[in-house]
Amino acid sequence: MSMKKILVVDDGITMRLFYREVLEGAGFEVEEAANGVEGLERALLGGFDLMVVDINMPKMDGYEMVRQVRGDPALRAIPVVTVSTEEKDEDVLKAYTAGANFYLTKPVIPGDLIETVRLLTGVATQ
Amino acid sequence: MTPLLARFLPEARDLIQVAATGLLNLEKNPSDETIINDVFRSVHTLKGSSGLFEVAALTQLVHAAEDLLGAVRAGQIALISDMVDMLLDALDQVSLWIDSLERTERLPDDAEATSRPLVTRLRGCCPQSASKAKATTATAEDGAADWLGLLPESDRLAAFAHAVSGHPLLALHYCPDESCFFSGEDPLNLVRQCPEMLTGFIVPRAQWEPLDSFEPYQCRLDFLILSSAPRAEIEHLFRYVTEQVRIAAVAPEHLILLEGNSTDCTVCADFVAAARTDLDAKDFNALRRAVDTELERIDSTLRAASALRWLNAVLGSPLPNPLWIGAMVEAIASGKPPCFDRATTEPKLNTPPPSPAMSPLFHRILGEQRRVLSLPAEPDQIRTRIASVVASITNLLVSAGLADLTETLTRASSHAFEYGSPTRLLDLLEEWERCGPTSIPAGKQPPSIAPASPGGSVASPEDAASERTTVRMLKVDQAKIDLLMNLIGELVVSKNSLPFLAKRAEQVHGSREMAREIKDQYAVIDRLAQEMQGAIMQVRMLPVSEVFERFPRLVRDLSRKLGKTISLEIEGEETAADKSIIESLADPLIHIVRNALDHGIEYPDERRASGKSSHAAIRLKAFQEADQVVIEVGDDGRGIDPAAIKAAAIAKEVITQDQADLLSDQDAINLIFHPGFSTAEQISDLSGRGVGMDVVHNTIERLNGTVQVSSILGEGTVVRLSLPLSMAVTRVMMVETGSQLFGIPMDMIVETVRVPVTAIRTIKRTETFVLRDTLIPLVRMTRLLNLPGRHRDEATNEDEAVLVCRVNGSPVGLVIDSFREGMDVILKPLDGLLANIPGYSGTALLGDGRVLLVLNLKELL
Repeated sequence: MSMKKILVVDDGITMRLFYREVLEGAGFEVEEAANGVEGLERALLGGFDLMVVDINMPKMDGYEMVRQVRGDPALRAIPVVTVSTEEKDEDVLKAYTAGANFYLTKPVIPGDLIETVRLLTGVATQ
Repeated sequence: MTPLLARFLPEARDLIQVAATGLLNLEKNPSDETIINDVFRSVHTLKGSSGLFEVAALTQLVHAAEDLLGAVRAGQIALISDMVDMLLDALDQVSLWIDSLERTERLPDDAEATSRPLVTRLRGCCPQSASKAKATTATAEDGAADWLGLLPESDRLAAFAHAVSGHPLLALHYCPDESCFFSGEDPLNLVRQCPEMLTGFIVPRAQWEPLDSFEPYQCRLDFLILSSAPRAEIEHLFRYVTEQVRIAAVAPEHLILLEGNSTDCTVCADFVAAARTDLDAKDFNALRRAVDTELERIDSTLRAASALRWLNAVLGSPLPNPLWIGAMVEAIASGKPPCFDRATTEPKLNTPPPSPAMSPLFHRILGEQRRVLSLPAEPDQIRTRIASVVASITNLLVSAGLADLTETLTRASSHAFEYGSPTRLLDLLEEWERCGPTSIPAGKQPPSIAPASPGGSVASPEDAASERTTVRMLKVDQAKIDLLMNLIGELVVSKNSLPFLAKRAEQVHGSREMAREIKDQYAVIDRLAQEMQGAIMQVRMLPVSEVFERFPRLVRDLSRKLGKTISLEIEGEETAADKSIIESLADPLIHIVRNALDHGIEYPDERRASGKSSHAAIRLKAFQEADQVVIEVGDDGRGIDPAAIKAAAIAKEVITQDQADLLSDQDAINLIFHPGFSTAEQISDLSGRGVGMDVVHNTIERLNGTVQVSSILGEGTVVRLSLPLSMAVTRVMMVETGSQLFGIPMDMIVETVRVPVTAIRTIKRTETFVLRDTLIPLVRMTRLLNLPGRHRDEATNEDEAVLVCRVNGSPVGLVIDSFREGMDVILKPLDGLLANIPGYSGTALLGDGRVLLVLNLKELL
């Protein structure tokens, strides 16, 4: 089975490396984008099985990016996980309203990240 | 060092820089949303990234800064200078920690202690809602408070009435640290500030010792409080003692605790019978009347009376809860405490324990999909949402080895799609959540479904988007760039041999065609070489903002320290110059700016007295002028007084009175470049001791630059630094003297003239000539370099070739044999045995392979 491809969108370069290391270590293919605009560009090229999107980003925030991703018929079904330092319910609901399927809170625990991504891409959990 | 940490350090430094710069801008333009957003996001990102490492102190500090910035961003508080100071201090501290992380990969041991006061200060500025930090939400939620029974019934009844009319109710149990008095805490005062306190109660902690062994300086009291303030406010109030406070939400029925003497239950038998009838008939008014009558009838100290009072309170609430009433009536009947178990909330879903195969995360994600679906949505959104939820759940099932169930899901989802309504899907999810999807036999098939099949190839991670961010990170050892530049320099020089080759092809080998081809090739190589040279110079070019960016902070901090109000204007920070120039500019510039702040600019009183605005200005301006980069530091301060300079110079025996009388005002001002000169009456700690403008002067001279000071007394001073754009390429003029070629740096040369021999006069054994009314001394190169003079026929009245140079500020004419062309060369310093020979600044290779010695006239003359 081909490797599942994950798009991670975060303006923190360290966070991106973190996602890459954790997810590649778990056998996923990872692509990065540094803000919502780049993330959207990337997403529109297609080929992703899941997106991990930070909320607070320059140029275009995570809410807007997810909203626009959902606006593309080809992308409307891709599972999207948003990541934020906020855990207030209103923030989560805002992300869901924009189109996210799940959320993780920073600091992201590697085990949770891997399991979430596995569950949402249909990769057997170990 | 892990790659993650290695990545984090430069990112953190960048973010700190962005935040600090932004803060300073923000202070000037407090309403600029872009800046506050940038600052906030930098700090936010920094916090997010730092969370990946074991640096709790750092994260806490950044978090506190973020909260404060968040409040500013939300417009809850205005940013004042003191806050900027605090934030800058915090950033400085984080910077130090980043350095420490780089050295030792951990924070210093005292990090926690260092962080705490900073965090406290930052949090102190936060308005209440913004400081709702995670630290405070950690406050223990210990279920219902267990001490409610300690409160008198009347208080509980009042609180109950308050709670059932829709107010939140929190129970606080505050156990101050025993030694809290020594850490400056005042528990009683803190408790008194508690917002919307309904009732408070102080109880002794444990059993107190007898008076003679009692320790009065220890806090041995607990505080019990009921408040209907929002949780955030309470948490804010107790934010410094979070670990000593337990906050619990109180449901109204928790307050219903019966007291009094228990009696024979039959006392109220008649009432109970009547109450049950009323309850069945839902006739609360009749029940109320019955309660009133019964209360008058029985002894008020009885337990049953207490129950009746509570029943009364329940009935008196705006929406009497029949279940509570029933429970109270039963309590009166049985003489036991009321049982609200069934009555408390709406029936909970009877969720069976999740199967061990399903992780908590599986259930969480499944549950969240239900939440996503139940959110209100536009009609066109709902199908999109169903699609993503179905895809997510399909994957979830496949991942958990429940692929069989996807069929059921598909059926429900196609219905949902068809009708644009997620109801069927929601029902299915609810069912699964209640019973666990495993109740249906799990599939044995290997996972095979992936809704979004990985399609065509997508650009690799190394493509443009990620490159854009790594460009800033590219750090190359300067030696590599220097090597590259040397190589290109040699390429430039060796291509110069091609025209010679072309000439030889034509003259020696008689092939004009070959000569033409070589020349054509030369033109191409020449262009490429020049472009390469330009490109490599560009690599070494840095904008002066590299140096300028530290000044806003410097000026701000120093002006506050000095008590002067000074604004800094920066202009032309994008002007670029060679890295080595930019780097060596920093120290002289700091010195000049400090001088201006310290000595140049007057105190506000003095400024007002002389009719100026009390607000002083310093201007840093950079621009390119010909092949020089010019940096001007101007202030509108008191200016330099030539008379004062002269007096000081005489006092310091730098010059004599006679000399002073001859000096023009400008020359007097230039005296400040004299070693060890300082006019300030008192040496402050700003400009340092004994280090004056002479250091600036020397540094700039070493870079082949010049310093000029112009000043108007009472109006201000401008210091102007002119520096070559690049030290890599030097433009020299070739001259021939004593049958040899020498190079003379073009920036020394003023002009070239031919002087008739007859116009040369000898004054005091020095040959001189007059150029436009100026007497210029002549120096014969051959004599200077000790070369054999050219054989000259005495009779011929030839002109002498004279190169007029400006050396150490005064003109001098160099007599040479002939002028040759000017050219760009890469100057290489003499090294090895030759390194110590004075008079030469270096060597350069000529196109035909010869070595050109470039003279250093300052040393020669």
